[in-house]
Amino acid sequence: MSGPRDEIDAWLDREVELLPPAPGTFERVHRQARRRKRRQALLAAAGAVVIIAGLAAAPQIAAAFSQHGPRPPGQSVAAGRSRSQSPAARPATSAPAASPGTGPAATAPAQAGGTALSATTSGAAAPASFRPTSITMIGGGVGAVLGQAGTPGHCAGPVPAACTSLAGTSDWGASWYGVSAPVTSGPDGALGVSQVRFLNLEDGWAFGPQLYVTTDGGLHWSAAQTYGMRVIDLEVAGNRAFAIFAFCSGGGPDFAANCTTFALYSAPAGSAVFQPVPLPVDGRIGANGNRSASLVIGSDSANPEAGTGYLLTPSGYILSGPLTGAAWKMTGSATPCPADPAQPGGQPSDGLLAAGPALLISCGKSVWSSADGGASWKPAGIAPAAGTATSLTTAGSSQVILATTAGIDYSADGGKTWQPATIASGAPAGGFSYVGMTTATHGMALPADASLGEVFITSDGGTTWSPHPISGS
Amino acid sequence: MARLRATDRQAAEDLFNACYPRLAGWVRRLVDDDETAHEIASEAFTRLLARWSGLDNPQSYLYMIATNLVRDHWRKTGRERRAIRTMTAAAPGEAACHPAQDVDVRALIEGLPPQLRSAFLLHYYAGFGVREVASMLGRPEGTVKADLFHARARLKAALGDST
Repeated sequence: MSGPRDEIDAWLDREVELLPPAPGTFERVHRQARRRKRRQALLAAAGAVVIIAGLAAAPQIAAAFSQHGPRPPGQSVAAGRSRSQSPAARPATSAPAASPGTGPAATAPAQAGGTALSATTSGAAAPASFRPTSITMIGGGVGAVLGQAGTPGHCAGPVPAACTSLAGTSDWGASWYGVSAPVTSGPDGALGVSQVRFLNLEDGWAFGPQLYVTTDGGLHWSAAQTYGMRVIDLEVAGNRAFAIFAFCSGGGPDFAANCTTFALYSAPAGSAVFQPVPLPVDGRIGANGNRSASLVIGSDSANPEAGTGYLLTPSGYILSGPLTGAAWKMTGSATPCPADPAQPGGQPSDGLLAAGPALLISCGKSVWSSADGGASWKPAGIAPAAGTATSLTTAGSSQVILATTAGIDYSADGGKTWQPATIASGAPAGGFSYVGMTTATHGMALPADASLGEVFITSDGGTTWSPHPISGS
Repeated sequence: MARLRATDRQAAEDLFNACYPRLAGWVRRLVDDDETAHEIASEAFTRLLARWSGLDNPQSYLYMIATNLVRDHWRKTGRERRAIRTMTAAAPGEAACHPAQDVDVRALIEGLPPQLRSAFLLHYYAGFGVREVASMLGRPEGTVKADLFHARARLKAALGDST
């Protein structure tokens, strides 16, 4: 028997039947839009002439108007637009419209514009109850974590739901201080951010699914235009950021789920304007069901701009190219496994990629290696059976480290033989969501349970890891 | 500048290719025929592209435009239906033939107050989260949640009355 509620649900639950456009529809729409835009510009110009003429003819009107005093802050002639205008769309010379966020509990002085990432420390306390979801290191022990802090819906600042926070370190995570964060929430469908990358002390990007850019170490963040797409991965090297943009419909923290039309975009440091990197096959990366995509950079520390970028496509091919924004190309046959549906952080749940002296991919616990940039693959070895792989990284000439839902596995011979790494105080419940090495000796890992509020650090090449709390240090 | 324009066009085309079929299908469930659905979807994209560079979230804007165009279409067809009813008042008993449930629910949604209707369509039908709908409509999240609750309650009551 069905009730009224069932009828509504049945109607809502019915899949929308796709209605493709007739050939040539986009060209027609594009032409009409351009014509309309020209008409609007002409009308606006005509309106401006009338207003200027009116003011010149009747200065007393302007004087009378000015007696009412200046407009309240934030109120403009087109109030509805000014509030939602993208900072990226503003002229480069204009000052940021909104004061930067400092996270819910950062103690940065607002009048100074918050606190920036520093090679020493800002002195501001790290936000309380910090739940890290991403970590980035720029060398010399300097890095930052991004996550949520405070109580969702009750955070300080102009938007109570915007609990996104940043903390910086200058001593390999032994101590943390507050850094200004973009004013937005954690990932929620098309909104919020969950990941962070810094290229140096000034240039940083917060993303997943939205994209924010800073050029002053986090003091100010600008939203970048993503053309309606979500940013599901971003890496930095040389003097640029490379990002995977995709149209996705996943909700809540699964912002990178159910994606179609993947594309690679890039921007030089200092710019919030991302432009497409030319790719083969019409500039698109084929989507095949609910799959993901990931990006790694094989950089040369002596000459960072001479490195190579690698992109694992949803259909399981490797695209590679220079770190200049020039075209990337397909490198060879399919990888041993495609990029499976994304984890909450955006990385594939299988088909984890890492770039070092060789390109590596983990398919389940099997690790494969390519010495020719993804053109051909051969099995390297099999990691211990415990847990499910979540993140893969390399260090030095032959170290390979695999984060799993049970702990961290370590190989000193390019993935041939493996052993569990030693975790001081034992592996956290749920294991780890991310592992990354900054040097041959130093690396960091994030526990899958962000509420632990800590990062794990190694200083011996990945064989032992110890926890370091972010708040209250 | 030319490179930027080319970038915008490619991004717009990507958005069009990714979103048009679903948007047109979405509209199709709210109007009477494919042709009207294509007209509304094309007009929504034309308006979007005419102000492309100043938008934070083109996809949200697209659905907002389409929602307004569907509302205009309903108003127009409502007027036409009323006119036809007036003209054919002399022949009672020839009730309009609707394909049952789909049109029944649609007619009830069409009859919701505008504030409830927009929130209902964007959340339950277009799939936007409550926060996104709140941002799109410029209303607090709590208000949108209340609107959604009241919209469902009204639909439930109306369907209960009609069965």
